[in-house]
Amino acid sequence: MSIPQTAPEKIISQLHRSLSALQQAPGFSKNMYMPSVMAAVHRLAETEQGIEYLYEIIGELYDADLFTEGPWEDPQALVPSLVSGTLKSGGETTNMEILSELRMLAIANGLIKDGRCSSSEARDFLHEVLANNLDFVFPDRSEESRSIDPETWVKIRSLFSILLEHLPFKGIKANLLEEIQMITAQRPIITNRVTKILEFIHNELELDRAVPEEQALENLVNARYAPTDYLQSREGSYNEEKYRSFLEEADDDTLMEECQQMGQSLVNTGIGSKWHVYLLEKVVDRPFLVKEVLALNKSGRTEYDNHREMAEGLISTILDPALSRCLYGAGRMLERNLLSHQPVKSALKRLFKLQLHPAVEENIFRSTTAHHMKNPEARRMLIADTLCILGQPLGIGQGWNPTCQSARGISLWSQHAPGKLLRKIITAASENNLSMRFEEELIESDDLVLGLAKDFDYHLDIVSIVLVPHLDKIYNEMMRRCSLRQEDGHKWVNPALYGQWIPTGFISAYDVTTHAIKDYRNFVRVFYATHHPDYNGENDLTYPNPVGIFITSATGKLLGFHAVSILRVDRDEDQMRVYFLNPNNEGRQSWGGEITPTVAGHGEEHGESSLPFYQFASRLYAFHYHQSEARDLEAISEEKVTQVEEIARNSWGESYIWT
Amino acid sequence: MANGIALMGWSLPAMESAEKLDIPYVVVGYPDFQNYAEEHNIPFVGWEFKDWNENNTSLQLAEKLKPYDVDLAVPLFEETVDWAGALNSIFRDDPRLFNRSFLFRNKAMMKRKALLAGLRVGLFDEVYNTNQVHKFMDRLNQANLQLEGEEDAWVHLKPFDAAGTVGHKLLRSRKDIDDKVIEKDFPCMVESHLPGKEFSCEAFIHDGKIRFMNITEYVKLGYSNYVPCGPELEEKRPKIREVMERLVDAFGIEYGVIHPEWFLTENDDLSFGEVATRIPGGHIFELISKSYDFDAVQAMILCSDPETDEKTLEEFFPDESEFTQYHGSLMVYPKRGHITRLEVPEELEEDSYFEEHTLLPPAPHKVGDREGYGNHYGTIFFKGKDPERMKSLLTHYQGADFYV
Repeated sequence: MSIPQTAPEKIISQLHRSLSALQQAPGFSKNMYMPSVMAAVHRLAETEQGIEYLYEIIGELYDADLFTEGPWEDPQALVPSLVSGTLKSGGETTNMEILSELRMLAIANGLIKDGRCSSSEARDFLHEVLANNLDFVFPDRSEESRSIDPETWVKIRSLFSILLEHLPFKGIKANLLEEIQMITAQRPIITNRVTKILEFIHNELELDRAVPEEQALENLVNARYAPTDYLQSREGSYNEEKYRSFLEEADDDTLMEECQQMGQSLVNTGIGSKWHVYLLEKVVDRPFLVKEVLALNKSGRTEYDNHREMAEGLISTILDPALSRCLYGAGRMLERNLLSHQPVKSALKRLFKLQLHPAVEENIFRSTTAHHMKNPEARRMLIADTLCILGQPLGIGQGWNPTCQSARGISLWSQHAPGKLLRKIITAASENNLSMRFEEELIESDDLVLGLAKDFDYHLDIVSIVLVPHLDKIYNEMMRRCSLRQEDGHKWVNPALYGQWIPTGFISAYDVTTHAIKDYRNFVRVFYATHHPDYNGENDLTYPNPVGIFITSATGKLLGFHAVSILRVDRDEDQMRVYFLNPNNEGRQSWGGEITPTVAGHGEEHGESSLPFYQFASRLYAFHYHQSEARDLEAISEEKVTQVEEIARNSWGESYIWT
Repeated sequence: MANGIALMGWSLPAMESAEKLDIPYVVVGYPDFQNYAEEHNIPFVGWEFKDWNENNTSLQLAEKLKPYDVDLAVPLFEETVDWAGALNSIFRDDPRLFNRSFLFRNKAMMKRKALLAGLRVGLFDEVYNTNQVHKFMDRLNQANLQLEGEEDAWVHLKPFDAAGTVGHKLLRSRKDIDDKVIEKDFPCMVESHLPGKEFSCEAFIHDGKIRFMNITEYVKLGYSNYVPCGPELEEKRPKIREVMERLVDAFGIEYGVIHPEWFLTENDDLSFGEVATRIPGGHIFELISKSYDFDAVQAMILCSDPETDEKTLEEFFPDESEFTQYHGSLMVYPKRGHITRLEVPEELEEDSYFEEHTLLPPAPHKVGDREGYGNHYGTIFFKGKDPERMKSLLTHYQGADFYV
C-alpha cells in the first residue's frame, strides 16, 4: 500500500514528536516511546520516498539512541552475512534492520560519526552486504515466487535502491573481485550468484584496465559479456544477429581464433555465455572447432572423436542461452570419458526420448533455469544438467533445502557410480517415484509423505529438482526406522543410502541415548589412525566418506548437525589438510572460532573445501571407517588428541555433557 | 511532602512522572524487573504480589523498604492495592487503611458497602459452586415473575479481585451456567445485569474531598473511550458528583484516586458497578493528561500524599470545564486467527482527528524481547473538538481489520 499524499505529514510529525519525547526521556523509560516511533518508521519504510526520508533524518534517529540495548546497538558487531536473513524476517525486525543499514550508510558518507565504526569500515560493511544480496539489487522473475511477503519485499527493494544511489563504490571492486574469484574457484553448477555480480559490475561500474584488480574484474566480466577480442572491440549495443552474420562471413582462421578464445574464457572461469551458444550453433558440425570452444583436454578430444555422433547430439540439445552455464560441465563430462562407459551412454540415449512425468515437468518449470528460458523444455533442461552433474560432481549445491544428505549422495554417485545415478534420474523423471532397499525391505518414495524439506527451494540444478524430493523422503524414512536404536541411525542409513562404498565401521562421539559426548579421545584417535596418512600407512581414501560435523556459529556456539563428505587427506606445504565437499553452496562457510574452510589457495581442486586436519577433526562427530585399519591407536600422541579436544570443548562442546 | 514514595507496580510512565515531581521514589515490582532496574539505576525492591503468606508479609516488605526512607505507598495496579494499603497502615499507624484497601479487592464486600451507603446496586451474592449460581438465577427469575418459556434473567459472574473485565462471564441462561462456569471460578460473585449506559469516573481525592473529577465516555468497553465525556453525560455531572461524593464518604476514602464504573439508565438513575483505586486501563490517564493538560499520574501521587498542601493542589488542577479538546483511544486487537501483516486504512491517517498510532507490524520471527510494549497490538489516538465525530470514528474503526 502506498502512503497517501497527505498522510506522510502526520506520520512524520508523529515520528518527530515521539523522537523528541524519546530523547528527553530518562534511560529507563525510552522503551515507552518506541512503539510510536517504530509504527511511524514502519509506515515510512513502505515506500522508497519514505526510506529516503528516514535516511535524511537518520542522524536524529541515531542521536535518539534508537539502537541502544538491542542487537543493533554496536555497528562494529554487526555481521554482513546476517543482513539478508534479518531483512527477510518481516515485521519490526525488518524495520530495525533497514534503519541499521541507513545508519551504516550515513556513517560511510560521514553524516554520522561513530567512535566504534569508521566510515571506511561502514563502507566495507555495506559493500559486503551488497555483494551478498545481489538478488535484491537485480531481482529476476523467479523472485516473484520467493517466500517473502510482498510488503517486506517492497521495503527491501527500496532500501537497496537507496543504498545504490548513496553508496560510494570506491572500494567495492576489491570485494567483488574476491567474491567472484572465490565462487568461481568452486565451479558451482548453479551460477546465478556470480552472474548477478557480473551483471552488476557490467551495468554499474566503470573499470580501469590500468589497475590490476580492475583488469582482473574486467576479464571476469568479459567471460560473460564479451569472451573474445572481437566481441570486446564491439560497441555496447552489439547483438546476436550482428554476431551471427560476422560468423557467417568469417574465414576458418578467424573462426578458429574465436573458438580458442571462447574456450579459454570458459575453462578459466567456468562461466559460459550466450556468445558461446551462438558460436557453437555455427560450428557444432565441425568437431575440431567444438573441441576448442569446450576447451577439451587430450582425453576429452579423443572421447569426442570416439563418440562423435552422441557428443554432437548432446551439445546440440543444450544449445540455448539459458543453458550456457552447462557448457563447462558438458566439456568436463567428456574429459571424464563417460561416454565410453556403456551404462552412461545407454542411459543418456534413453534420456533423449524419455517421457517425463507431468508432476516432474511441473517441478522443473519452477526452476530458475526455466524462468530464464524463452521456450522452456523440461527434457532438454534435464539433459543439460545431467551433463553438468557428471562433469562437475563437486559443483552440486543443496540450495536453501536442508538436504545435504541427498546432495552429497548425488555427488558421490556421479563420481563413482554414474550409471546408477542415471538410472535413478530416469526412474524419478519418468515415474515420479524412487525406491531403495533398506535392511531387506523396499522403501518407495511414493508411499512416503515426509521429508526434511518443508518448502522446497527450486533454485537448484534440474537433476536435484528431479531426485532430491525422493531421496530426501527415503533418507528420512530410513532414519525414522532407526530412531529407537541405541546408536546414531547414520551407521545403517549411510551404507544403505549411498551404497557399498561406505565402510562398515562407524563411530560417533555423540551418544544418542544420553545426549552426551562419550569417549571423545578414543574417537579422535580412531579418526587419526584411519584417515591421517602419518598413521594409516600413507593410504589414500578410496571413496568419499560421508561424515557428520557440528556446525557452530561465528562465535563457536553449537548450531546443529551438518553432513559433508571427506574427499581426500593430503599435505599442502607443511600442513596436513582434509579436503571435503560441503554441499551447502558455500564451501567457505565459517565453522566458528578460527575454523574457516578455504576453497582456494591450499591445494583445493574446484569444488573442494579444506581445513587443517586437526581443525577438521575438532568439528567431527561421526564417520565411517574400515575396522581393520583402526589399529595402532596409541601411536597418536596425547598432545595431538588434546589439541583437538580443547578446540572441541571450547566450542560446540560447551553445549554437551562429556562423559 | 512525603519523604519518599513506594510506587507499587512496574510502570514506566509512573516512574517518569515521579521523576519529574522530584520526590525520591522506589519501585516495588515483580522480581523479573530486577535486571532492567539495575541497568537503569532505578531504585527497586523485588516483590511477589501474588503470594501473601507468613514468608511474604507487609511487615517484611516494609522492612525491605526501610533503606529508602519511604512513608507513602501508591498502588498502580490491581494486585498491589492491598499491599499498598498494608504499607500505608504501617506508615501512618492506622490499621483501618489496610481494611479499607480490601474494599477494592473483594467485589462482594465492595457492593455491600455501596448498598449500605444507599447507592443503587444490582442484586448480588457470593457463590461457592455451580448449584448456587443456578439458585441465584432462580431467585432473579422469580423476582422478574418469569413465565414458562420466557428468557432467563442475565447474570454476571465476576472474580472477587480481578481488574476490569478479567474473568468476567455473562450468563444468559441456565445452559450458559453449565457451559461456561468451571470449578476454578469459585468462590466468586454473581450479580444481576445492570441496564443502562456504562461510563467511568476518575476522582482525585485529597483529605476526603474530590479535587478533580473526570468523566470518561465508553464507546465500547475494553476497546475505546474518550475524555472528557460527551454533552449527554456532561449534563449529568452534578448528579454524578453527588453519587461520587456519597461513594467517597461511604468508603471513607481520604487520599488517592478512585475509578468507579457507573450505569446511567434512560430515566436518569445511576447504578454503581464497581470501583478501583489504581491507574485505570484504556489509556484513560493519558487522555486526561492530554485533554486537561496536567500529568494524571503526578496528580495521583500528589493526592495520595497527605502532606501535600492546599496551595499545591489548587495550582495543580484546572477547572473541570476547561479542556483543550476531546481525546480518544482505540485499542486494536488482531481479529483473525492467523495474521500476516499490518494494513492501516489510508483514510485513517488522512483524517483530521487522527493523532497517532502505535500499530506495529506482526513479527513472524521475533528478535530480542520487547518488554513493555503491552499486550494489545497497538493503540490509535484521536483528538478533535466534536464529541459526536469522535464517537463515530471510534465506532467505525473498532470494526476495521488492521491485521490481515
